[in-house]
Amino acid sequence: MTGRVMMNRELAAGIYLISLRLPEAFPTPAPGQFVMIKVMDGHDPLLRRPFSIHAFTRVKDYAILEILYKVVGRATKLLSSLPGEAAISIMGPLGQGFALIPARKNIIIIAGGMGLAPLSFLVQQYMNVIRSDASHGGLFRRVICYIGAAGADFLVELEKIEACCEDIRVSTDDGSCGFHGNVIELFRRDQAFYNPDDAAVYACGPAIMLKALAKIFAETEFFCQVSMEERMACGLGACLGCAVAGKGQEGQMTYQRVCQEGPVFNIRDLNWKE
Amino acid sequence: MNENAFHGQTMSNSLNEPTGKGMNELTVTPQMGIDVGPLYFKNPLLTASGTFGYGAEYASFVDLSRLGALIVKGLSLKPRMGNPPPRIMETAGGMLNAIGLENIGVKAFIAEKLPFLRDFDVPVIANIFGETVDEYQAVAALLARAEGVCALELNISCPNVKKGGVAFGSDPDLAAEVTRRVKEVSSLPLIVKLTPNVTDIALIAEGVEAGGADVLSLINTITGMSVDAERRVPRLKNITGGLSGPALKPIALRMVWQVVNRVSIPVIGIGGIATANDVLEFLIVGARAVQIGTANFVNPSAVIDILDGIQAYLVRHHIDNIGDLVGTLRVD
Repeated sequence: MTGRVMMNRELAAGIYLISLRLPEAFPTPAPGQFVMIKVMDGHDPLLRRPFSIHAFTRVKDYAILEILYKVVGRATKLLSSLPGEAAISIMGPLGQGFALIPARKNIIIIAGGMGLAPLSFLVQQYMNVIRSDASHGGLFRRVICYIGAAGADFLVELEKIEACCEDIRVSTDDGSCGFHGNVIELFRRDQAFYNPDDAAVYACGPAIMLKALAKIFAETEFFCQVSMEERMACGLGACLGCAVAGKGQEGQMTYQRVCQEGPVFNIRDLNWKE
Repeated sequence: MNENAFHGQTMSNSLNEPTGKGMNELTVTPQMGIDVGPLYFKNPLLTASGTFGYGAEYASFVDLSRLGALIVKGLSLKPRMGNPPPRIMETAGGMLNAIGLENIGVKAFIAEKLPFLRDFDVPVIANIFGETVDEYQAVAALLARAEGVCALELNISCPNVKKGGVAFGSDPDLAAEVTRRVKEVSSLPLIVKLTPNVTDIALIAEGVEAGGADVLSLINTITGMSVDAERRVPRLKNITGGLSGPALKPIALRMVWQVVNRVSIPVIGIGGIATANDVLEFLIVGARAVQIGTANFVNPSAVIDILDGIQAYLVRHHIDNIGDLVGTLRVD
């Protein structure tokens, strides 16, 4: 499908937010799903790039899809230079989204750096569910967002999260805002207040962060889903390029495709050894 | 695209029926079907092994029945897990892959994937490989008995573990032997896929022809490498990988041309094909059909889009039959 750039702006050094106008026919995505975007026609860059869906709304006879991205290479650099009305080819929504467990008392979001990208959509979805339920006298639940960034300047989209979620706990590596340390250390501080029956955890961020989280939850019964990232070529499950190490039913090593079996995985279904 | 081609395309209704054209000329809709040795394809566009999964992955994006043929992911006797990540890396006009020949194994393919493909009007070609000649034979024998496979494609880019890891495809005698031994256990039409990682691909081609191959397909990927200069490590966990995509085309084209001039069996061209024009170049140097690979990743409907472009070219050049184009390179 063809999308048109509506807005494309820099939020912090190297971090951009782009919103795309899509035809009405674009299927409604689930939080956690992603799209494959061909940033420019031609052979260089050749491949589409995967981006998690940051936000999605339907307006009259079209849809608006938002992507939060960081410039890390040629394709993202080109993406950041696209002006309004530029046309791009978009495939999706693709992959498995997060599983919502609205009955849990504590919905815990852990976002490290750009990991906020897919989690923001999830927070929005949860708040929609909780609010519509609250108006019918539903049970008490709260969404708690742990957001980690390198420094205060990199805490992007906070206003958007604040609109959806009252309980935001921030950490910065350099201590310029909130807790001085990484987001896992911040979560560890509060961990004792949560237990597996009343919590659902969702996390996304650098591999090192998810690995640390996997270690924390390894011997527990906590429901914890993570969104993974790998280089992709096809995005459809055919090329097997995006494989990550997983665990089969007997605990044996198997490769799982981030584009098909993922990007969302149960944290204990992945093999974090490497 | 000029006006003639546009009108010829939109006003044609079925194959070989004369239609009127806007410019007051009659034209026949070009015949896209082509013989490739013992095989016949409704058009010369095949999807390359490793780029189309087992078919089902693309079924919601492409009508599989419109493909000339579908070549499935390479199958081995036992399932293979593949390599640890990172497995792929984009390069200028291409990509490197070190997937590691991950596949579900020939038995699981026959039981679980083949039935789905039988519902479509598309020839299914099974790409196979092994670590020893015995393994090649075992896989071939199983597929020869399976219903729904119209041909085998031998991937001989694999190391022969019995001969110290020398790739089957890098030695004309080894290549001939594996071809011969597969022919012993399977009467299915046999395509042998050649690797370009050799000094003289035409020599390998001759060996494989002597071994009894019905058709040759070339080229497979060329070994390449990419490095992360900041961290000073290879971009692929496997260090090296196979290069595919548009960057490969000039090499592939040259090799197809060389092989076509040395063997009598038909050749299928592979390597960086992304547009109708690319296909035409391969046909003109002598390939009777082509495989489209990496292009499918960028655009799942690549084959369909390319088909339309070829049709337009044939109309524009008043060519009735695509076979008439094969090997028409003019070298003075």
